[in-house]
Amino acid sequence: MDFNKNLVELLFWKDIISGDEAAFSSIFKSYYKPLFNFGKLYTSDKSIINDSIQDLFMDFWEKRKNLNPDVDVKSYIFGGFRNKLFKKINQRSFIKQFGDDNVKVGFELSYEDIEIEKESDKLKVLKLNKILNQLPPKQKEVIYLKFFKGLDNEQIAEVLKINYQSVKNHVYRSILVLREKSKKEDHKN
Amino acid sequence: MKKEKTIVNIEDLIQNESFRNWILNNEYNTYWEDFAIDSAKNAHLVERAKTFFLTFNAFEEKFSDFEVEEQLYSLKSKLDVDFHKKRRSSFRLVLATLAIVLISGSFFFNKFYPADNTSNYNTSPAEGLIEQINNSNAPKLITLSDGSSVLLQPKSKLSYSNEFDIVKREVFLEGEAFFEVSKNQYKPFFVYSNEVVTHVYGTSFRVIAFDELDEVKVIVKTGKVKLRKSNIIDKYDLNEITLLPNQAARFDRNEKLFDKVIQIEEDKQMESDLTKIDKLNFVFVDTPITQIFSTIEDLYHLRIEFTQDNLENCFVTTSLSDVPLPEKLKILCFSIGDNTTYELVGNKIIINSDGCK
Repeated sequence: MDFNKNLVELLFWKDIISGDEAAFSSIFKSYYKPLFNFGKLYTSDKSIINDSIQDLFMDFWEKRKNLNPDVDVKSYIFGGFRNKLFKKINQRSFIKQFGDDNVKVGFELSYEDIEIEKESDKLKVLKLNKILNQLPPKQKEVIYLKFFKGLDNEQIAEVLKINYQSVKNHVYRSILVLREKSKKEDHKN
Repeated sequence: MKKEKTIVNIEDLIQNESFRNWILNNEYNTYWEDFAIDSAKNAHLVERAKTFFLTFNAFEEKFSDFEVEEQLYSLKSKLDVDFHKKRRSSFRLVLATLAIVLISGSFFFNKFYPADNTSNYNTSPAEGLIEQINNSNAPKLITLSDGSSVLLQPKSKLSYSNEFDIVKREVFLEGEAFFEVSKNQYKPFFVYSNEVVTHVYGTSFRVIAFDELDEVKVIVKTGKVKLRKSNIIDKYDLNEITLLPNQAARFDRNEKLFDKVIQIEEDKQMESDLTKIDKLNFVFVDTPITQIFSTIEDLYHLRIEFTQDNLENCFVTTSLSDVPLPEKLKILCFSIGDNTTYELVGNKIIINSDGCK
């Protein structure tokens, strides 16, 4: 099923390159929500997230003739968006030294955000959210892309511009931490 | 069913597609039901995986389709701005064009504004919109560039652009019209009428929005229709109400509230707004084509010309519901035979055919 989806995206991608506006709209619509939510990992400023998505897609359309027709569409779009967003966050924070380290990574979730009826479920979600937030930044990103967005290790490496082996290490380490911490939390109950 | 590999870890569970579908989409799956009750450890794993999914879900911002549509629209208009910039840069070209238009003004005028008093056709170049006004006593058929058809009622006006934009189709209505919108999931169709925005992809429905009335009414014949208040009155209220076939809604223009009607038949006043075209289901079983033609003539208030001898003995079984008039004609021509075509000229349809064989 995932394979088919990738195939359809690749066809759409090629249509964008040849100037198909419907394909462009369709890719925008299917990526808008996932990108917006990915952006929330780095900032709570919604306008900066929206601007980054807009800039990214403006580039795609205006420079469509120079786009590579044989990319992994998902990691290309996620990676491109992350770049745009980081640039904007850096610009806004007036930090002279540009770099990924200036960008905070976190799962911001408040009690009010959680629309779950069952109180016990709600508390479980808050606990897990707390554990996720205690992970180092890179691990948060890896966990988010892998488990929230279903990217594979290769795609994650592409998005975060790190090598395949370090993705594997981050996944391994974060899972160990998650397992240990959830056990501790369970014991508290 | 394909065999699942042995699940020991929560991460395997989370990433397993059939498990996801079982939890998130309530898909029936005996494997996972057995798995969950197999041992206390498994039950615990399933619980934790559920918490993971709930957390993802809580983290996700909820958008309406309309908000995504708006983002796309703003993106598109930025791209448009750039096109305009490019055009403006060739200022001399604009001047030259202007000069030509001024010189040959009378010629263009005669060409685009035919001195025909019976025609209500009028263009409004300032906004780049075509305006169609129906001052007659009978409904007037309008076909749009996307293949949609509109029956504009008397004392009503429809404005639209000749070519729709790349992300959406928009028309502006004052008065009453029956819409049959061609299906295109990439380009939603919006009807703006007084304070109400009607949002569809491909459906048929009626909108009644006379300025002098206290309410706007939308009545659905086929498909799904979404309604919301126009940005003019409330920029931040993006709540939509959804109408299904045989449902309707009134918008109270004073209270600025929608009132949904679940069954049109139970609302006598709303029911009285329906005409033949709202009620007919367009399903024909072994029906003489000539009879279908006269039904269409009657419903769309137009004339169909064809050679009687050629089509006299043609019988057709077909469903023409939920498609606009041009599509209906296409389907009919196809059912008659290979050598059948139609032309839509004003309010006359000419059928060219050497008969059914």
